[in-house]
Amino acid sequence: MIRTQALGKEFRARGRRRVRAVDRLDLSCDPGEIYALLGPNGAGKTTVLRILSTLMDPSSGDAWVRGHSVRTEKAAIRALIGFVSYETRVYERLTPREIGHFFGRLNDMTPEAIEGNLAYIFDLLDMAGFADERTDAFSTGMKQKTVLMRALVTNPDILIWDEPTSGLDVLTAKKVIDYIRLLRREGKTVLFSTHILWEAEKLADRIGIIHRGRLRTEGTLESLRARTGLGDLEDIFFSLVGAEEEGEGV
Amino acid sequence: MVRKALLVYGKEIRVLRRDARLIGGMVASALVFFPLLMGLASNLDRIAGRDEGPVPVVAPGADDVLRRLLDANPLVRPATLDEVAEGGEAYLSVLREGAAYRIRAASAENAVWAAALSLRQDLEAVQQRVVEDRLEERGLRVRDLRPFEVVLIDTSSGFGGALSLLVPYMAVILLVTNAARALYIAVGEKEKNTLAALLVSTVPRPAIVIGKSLAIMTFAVVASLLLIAGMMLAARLGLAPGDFAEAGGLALGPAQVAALTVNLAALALLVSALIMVIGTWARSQREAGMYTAPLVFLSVFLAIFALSPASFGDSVYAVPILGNALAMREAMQGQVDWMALGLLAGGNVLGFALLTWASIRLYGRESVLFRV
Repeated sequence: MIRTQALGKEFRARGRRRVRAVDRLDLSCDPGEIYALLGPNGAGKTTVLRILSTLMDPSSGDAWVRGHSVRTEKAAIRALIGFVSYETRVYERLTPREIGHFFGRLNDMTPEAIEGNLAYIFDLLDMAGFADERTDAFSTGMKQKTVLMRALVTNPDILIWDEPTSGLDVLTAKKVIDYIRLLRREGKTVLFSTHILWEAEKLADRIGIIHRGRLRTEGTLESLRARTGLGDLEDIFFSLVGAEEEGEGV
Repeated sequence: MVRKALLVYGKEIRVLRRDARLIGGMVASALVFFPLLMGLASNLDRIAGRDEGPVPVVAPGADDVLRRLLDANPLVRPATLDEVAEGGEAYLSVLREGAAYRIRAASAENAVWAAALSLRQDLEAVQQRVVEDRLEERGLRVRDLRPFEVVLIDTSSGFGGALSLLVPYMAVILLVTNAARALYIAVGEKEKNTLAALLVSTVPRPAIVIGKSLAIMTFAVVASLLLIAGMMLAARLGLAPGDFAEAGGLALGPAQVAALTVNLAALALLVSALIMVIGTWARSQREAGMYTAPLVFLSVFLAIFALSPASFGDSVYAVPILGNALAMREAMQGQVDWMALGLLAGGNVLGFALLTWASIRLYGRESVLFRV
C-alpha cells in the first residue's frame, strides 16, 4: 500500500549548509494496517509524511502509495489520501460544514455524498452542535476535530496523520485514538507519526522507529521484542535511540 | 480545472465577505469617509473661518466709480488702513495711479484673490461701458472695432476638463491600493497554516492561483467602484469641490463606458496577478505589505502622467499602468482608439499570464511554500 525505497531528503539550511532530514529510508505499510512512525523531535517523521502526501519531493529514492510514485503521479495519490497534521489549521471565517463541502467538491464529490459523509463524521466526532458555526471562536479541540473532518470528508482509503494527538486535551485525544481504532475496523490504512510511546504501543499494528532520518527498526511490537530481547517499547526505543544519543554525549 | 478554480474563487469570496473589518472599512470609506472628505475639501474656507464676510479693501482717495463698485460687490467692503491694521486681517488695496487702477493683494488666501479678481472684473466692465459710450458719441459701435468673434465650442461627448484627468488617476490608484488590501487572499493560507490541506487535495496548482487572483481582482474592482460611487454621490449632494462637482452630472457615451470597462478590467487582471505573486512569495502579510508599498508608489508615479494634459508618444502606452491611465484619459475626452485599446488590454492580459505562470512556479517550490 505504502512503500519507500532509499528515500532521502536534503534541505539547504541557513548559511547554505545542507541538512539531511531523511536518509535512505525503507518502510512499508500494508493495506488495512495501522503503522506508527515513532521518533524523537527532529527525527524526520514530518518530512517523510510530507513526501508521502506529495507536499514535498524526495531528493533521492522514491515512494509509492498504492503503486503510484510520489515523484510522477501526485494527482493520483492526492485522490487516495487524507492528510492531517497538528500544524494545519482551518479557515477561520467558514463553518465546519462549509469547509467539508469545499474540500469534498474539490475532490469531485456530489453535494449529497458530501452531506452523507458529513452527517456520519459530525455524529462520530460529536460535532453536530457546532457544525454550522464559524470556526474563529472554536477551542483547540473543536478546531482539531474540524481538521480531522476535513481529511475524512472524502472518505479516503489511506490516512496520513502527523502527530494525531498533539495539542489536544485528554478527552479529545482519547476520541481521536478511538477513531483510529474505528478506522482499523473499517479497513482503512493509517500511517501516523508520533513521539508518544504509548500511542504507538496501543494503536499500531506495526511500528517503525526513526532517528536522524533513518529507520532503525520496523515490525510488530512482538517482533521488536523478540529482536531486541526487551519487553517494553520504551526500553526498545531507548536501546535504539538513546544509546546513540548517549554515545555522542547528548 | 476551471470548475476547481471557481471553487477556490468562491471560497475566497465567501471568506472575504465575512471579513467584517475589511468590508465595513470598504463600505464606510465609500459612503461615509469619501463624501465627508470631499465635503471638507469643498468647504475648507468656511471650516478655516474664512467665510466671515467680505474682504476689506483700503482705497484711499477712491473716486465715485470705485466707491460705487466697492459698495455693490458682496465680496469686498471698504475699510481704512487703521481698521485692517488693528484687526490683523488680510486685505486688498486699490489705488488710482494715473490712468491705472492698481489692485494689490498681499495675501495668498483664496478669498482675497477671489475678491481681487471680482473687483478687476467690475472695473473692466466699467471700462467697457466707458469705451462704448465714447464710441457712440463718435457714431461708432463696438462691433466696428471688433468685426468678428472667435468662439470655441466643445461638441465632444467626453469631458475636456480636469475631470478627464482626475478620473483615470483616481481609478488607477484606487484599483492598485484596493488590490493590495486583498493581499490576505494570496498570503493568508501560508500564514494561517491552511495551505497544506489545499495542496494535498486534488485541486491543481494553476486552479488555486487563478481562483485566488480572480478573487483579488473582484475585491479590487468592487471596492474601487464603490469608492467611485461614493465620489459621485458626494458630487450629487453638492459636497464635491471644484472639478469633481462635474461628476454629479457625468454622462458618458456607450463607447466610452465600454472602453473604460475594458481598460479597467485588463488593468485589474494585471494588478491582481502582481499581488498574487507577491503574496505567494512572502512569508507573511507583513512581509507582503513591505513588497506592495513600492508597487503602490510606482503606480501613483505612473498615474500622475495622466494628470497632465500633454500628449505622449505611442510607445508610452506600452508601459502598463501608465498606458492604462493615458488610455482612460483619452476615453474620458471622447477619443476611443479600439486598436490601441486592444493592444493595451492584450499587453495586460499577457502580463497577467506571465505573472500567473510565475505564481504557479512558486507554488511548486518547497522553499517558498514551507519557509514560514
